[in-house]
Amino acid sequence: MTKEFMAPLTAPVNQQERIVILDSLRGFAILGILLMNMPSFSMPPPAHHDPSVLNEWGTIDFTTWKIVQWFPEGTQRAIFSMLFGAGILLFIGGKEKRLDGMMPADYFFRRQLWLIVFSLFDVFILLWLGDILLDYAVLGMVMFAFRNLPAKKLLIGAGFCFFFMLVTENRNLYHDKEIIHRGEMIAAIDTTKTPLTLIQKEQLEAMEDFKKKNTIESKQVAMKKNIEKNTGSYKDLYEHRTSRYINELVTYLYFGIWDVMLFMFIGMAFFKMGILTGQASVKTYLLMTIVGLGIGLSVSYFRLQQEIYARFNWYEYSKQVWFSSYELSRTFRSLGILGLIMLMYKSGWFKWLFTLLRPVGQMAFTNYLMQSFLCGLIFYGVGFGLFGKLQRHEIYYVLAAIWAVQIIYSNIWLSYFRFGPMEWCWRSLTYWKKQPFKKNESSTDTAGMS
Amino acid sequence: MTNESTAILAAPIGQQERIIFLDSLRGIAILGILLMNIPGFGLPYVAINDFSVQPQGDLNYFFWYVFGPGVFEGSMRGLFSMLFGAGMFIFITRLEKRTTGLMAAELFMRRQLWLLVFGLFHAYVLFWFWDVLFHYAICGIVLFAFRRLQPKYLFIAAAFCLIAMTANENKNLYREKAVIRKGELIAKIDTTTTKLTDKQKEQLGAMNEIKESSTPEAKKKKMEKQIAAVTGSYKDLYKERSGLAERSETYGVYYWAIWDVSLFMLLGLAFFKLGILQGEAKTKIYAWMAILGLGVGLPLSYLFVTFDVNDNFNWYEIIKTKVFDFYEIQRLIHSIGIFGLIMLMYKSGWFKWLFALLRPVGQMAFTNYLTQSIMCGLFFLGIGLGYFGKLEYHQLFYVVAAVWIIQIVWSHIWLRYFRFGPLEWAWRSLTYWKKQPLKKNNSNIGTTGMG
Repeated sequence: MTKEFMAPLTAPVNQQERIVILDSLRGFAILGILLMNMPSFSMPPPAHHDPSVLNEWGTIDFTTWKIVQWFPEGTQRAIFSMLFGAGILLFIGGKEKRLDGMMPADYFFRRQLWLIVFSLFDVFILLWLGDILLDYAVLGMVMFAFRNLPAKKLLIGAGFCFFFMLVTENRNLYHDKEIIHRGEMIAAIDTTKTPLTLIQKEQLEAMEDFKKKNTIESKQVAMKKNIEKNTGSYKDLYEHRTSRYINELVTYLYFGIWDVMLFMFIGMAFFKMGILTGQASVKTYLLMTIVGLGIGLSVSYFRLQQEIYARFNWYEYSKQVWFSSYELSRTFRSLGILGLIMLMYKSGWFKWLFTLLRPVGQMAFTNYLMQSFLCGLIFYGVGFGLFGKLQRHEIYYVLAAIWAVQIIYSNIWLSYFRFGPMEWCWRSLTYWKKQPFKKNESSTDTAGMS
Repeated sequence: MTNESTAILAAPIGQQERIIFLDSLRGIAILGILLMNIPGFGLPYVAINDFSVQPQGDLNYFFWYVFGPGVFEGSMRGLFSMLFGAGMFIFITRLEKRTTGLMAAELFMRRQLWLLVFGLFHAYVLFWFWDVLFHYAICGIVLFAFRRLQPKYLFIAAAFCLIAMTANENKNLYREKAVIRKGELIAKIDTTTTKLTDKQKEQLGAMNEIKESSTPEAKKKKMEKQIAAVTGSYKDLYKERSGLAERSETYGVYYWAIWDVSLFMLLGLAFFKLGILQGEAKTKIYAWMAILGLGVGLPLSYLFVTFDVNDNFNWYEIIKTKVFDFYEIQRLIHSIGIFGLIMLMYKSGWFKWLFALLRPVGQMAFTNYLTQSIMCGLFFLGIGLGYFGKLEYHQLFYVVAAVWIIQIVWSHIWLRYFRFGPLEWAWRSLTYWKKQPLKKNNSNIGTTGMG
């Protein structure tokens, strides 16, 4: 997901040719993604985004939850999708200059299909349920058809995705509302006078089920069960995780298509407009930051207040809320955070940070899979089994440790090797030929490399 | 999306270039598909492959066996997938000659994405929950990366699909076997002396769920519900059908299409490269395909059906008796046999009239596929005449005959005046993002490249 993008087909990457800022951005995003994924790696499902289950009210854990949900939640995935979109342009564009005919397309599709294989590895071997590689692999192929559009049309495409995303999100909300509404109407019927029909009974049951699932007691039962499964043997864990694969990932790919494609569109457009590469004016980034964070954080704050007001009971929440605004706030916050990072870049005061994160981004693919591996080792029963044992604020200490580890090894690794190990693997599979690995291998040897 | 000059270069394939025989094959496949699909159109979902909840009778059984799992099941879809695999190859290689750079890949991708849109339309607007266009769009995109492989490697890839699909089938079978086994062990426990744990209760519940949903009473109840939904209001219908469509487009892609459809696309591509699909191979090869395919395939299919019949379609019992699931294997083999048979008919030369008759039907296969859903929808759904669930199994095939006649007649008439079927024309125009000529007398001379 990194070198791959820039790597011109023929020679090993000429360091000067790379668009340095994109690597650093990717570094930010890949570390940021773990910030969001941390609760899913370490806490049982009903509790990851719901501080009521563990009764965290008023503690530092609650504050931690609130800050993460309010500000960065979902934005790193968005920035990563943007970079993936831009990467498609770079990958194909670079090859089109050097290769005739259809070969660039062939390499591109092979690369995407191998990414599917890697996603299966992430899910079925590393047992990570939140894998995003499948979405990037599949939707990247879709984006191939849009890559030549001018920036303006790409933004129209993004607008289209944005609209559908909001519709999907709210359709779900109104679906839940309908279940509640119908059920409550039926519950109000005096059954001593009018017996319920079969359909009415079913509808009543659906409502009651929904209600029951959202009580603290049933959430705690679900949590307990989940902890058992995650801290058991590899076999239990495997059964548990892979049997949910279809539900979690394949349906996400189907219904969440807008969530990913929106930002791929934006990424392609921003790349063409120079926004992603730092070529736009400071004013542009300032505007992105102010508008993005201004709207995004307000909407997000309001949304969290509603959740807190409903005391994280989704049943009550669905009754009270009229518009589901998660994706709305996420989109604005993501644009705002991108603007903010670019302002930091433009200011020149953070050169050290961008330099530090560049190697992390250059081997983003390795680092992404490594996060699944390290977290698995720390949290699952096959490793140290800390799943469900840490308090919410404590998991962020683990995060800091993983960040430090990834920053250190990325900087060391890339002073000896051209690519991260998984990048090298991916490249070699895509070109179906072993790629040069060590830095000191002469570049002329591999001039014909494809 | 494209600049003007390449758009002209990329003009659609001329009619004269079409490989005529493939159109006839496509005609057979598209009419054949209705034979397989008609139970889905006319019967409640539970009853489609379940003879225990339908009016009995030899005639009904005969039709079910022959056009269902015993002989033809999957063969026409298979043939259509093969033609799709060959078709994508023809589409791309011709464009590669006419265009430069990545234009061919781009047009191909757009074509597939529009197909995906048509598939969604088919599933959610025309309410056809067994739509395959969605799956063809996806599998076609995957196939792109394999199109240059030699037949040998294509066969290996196809074999991989067959193995993966069979493994999937059996994984599911054994997962359910385990549920039943565990549940039955728990059911034997004397609960007056030992209290069941929560986990045991759960496992018992899972077992009972399969058991209960397999009873004729449960199925009949489900059937009534489905009939009520499908023959009811538009809203009820939408709810019922969109649920099925969603399942097919999520679970269906992963568990089924990516193996089952890709398998035949890969075979089709290989057969095309070997000339087998176009009828260029020796008669002997087709004879062997027919003999081996039907000789081995039909007994296998018989065996496959026997499990269902012996246990009277009680899924709970079937899971317990079956040791190996081989749906895809038997389907592949009998489909190859049927393909061989069709090719023998062609090679013999005695059926020229039939192939000529079906050629226009195949030329507008896309239109015909979608209009089957419209016609059957109007006839069966509640928003139309509402015959859903009212016909006996054999009566469904009168509807097939009627649709066939209509489609054969209109295809011949339409293509006398127009170059393409209406939906083919729409699809082309969307793909090239330019209105395509439709009428035949648009002058062939002026637009030689445009045919």
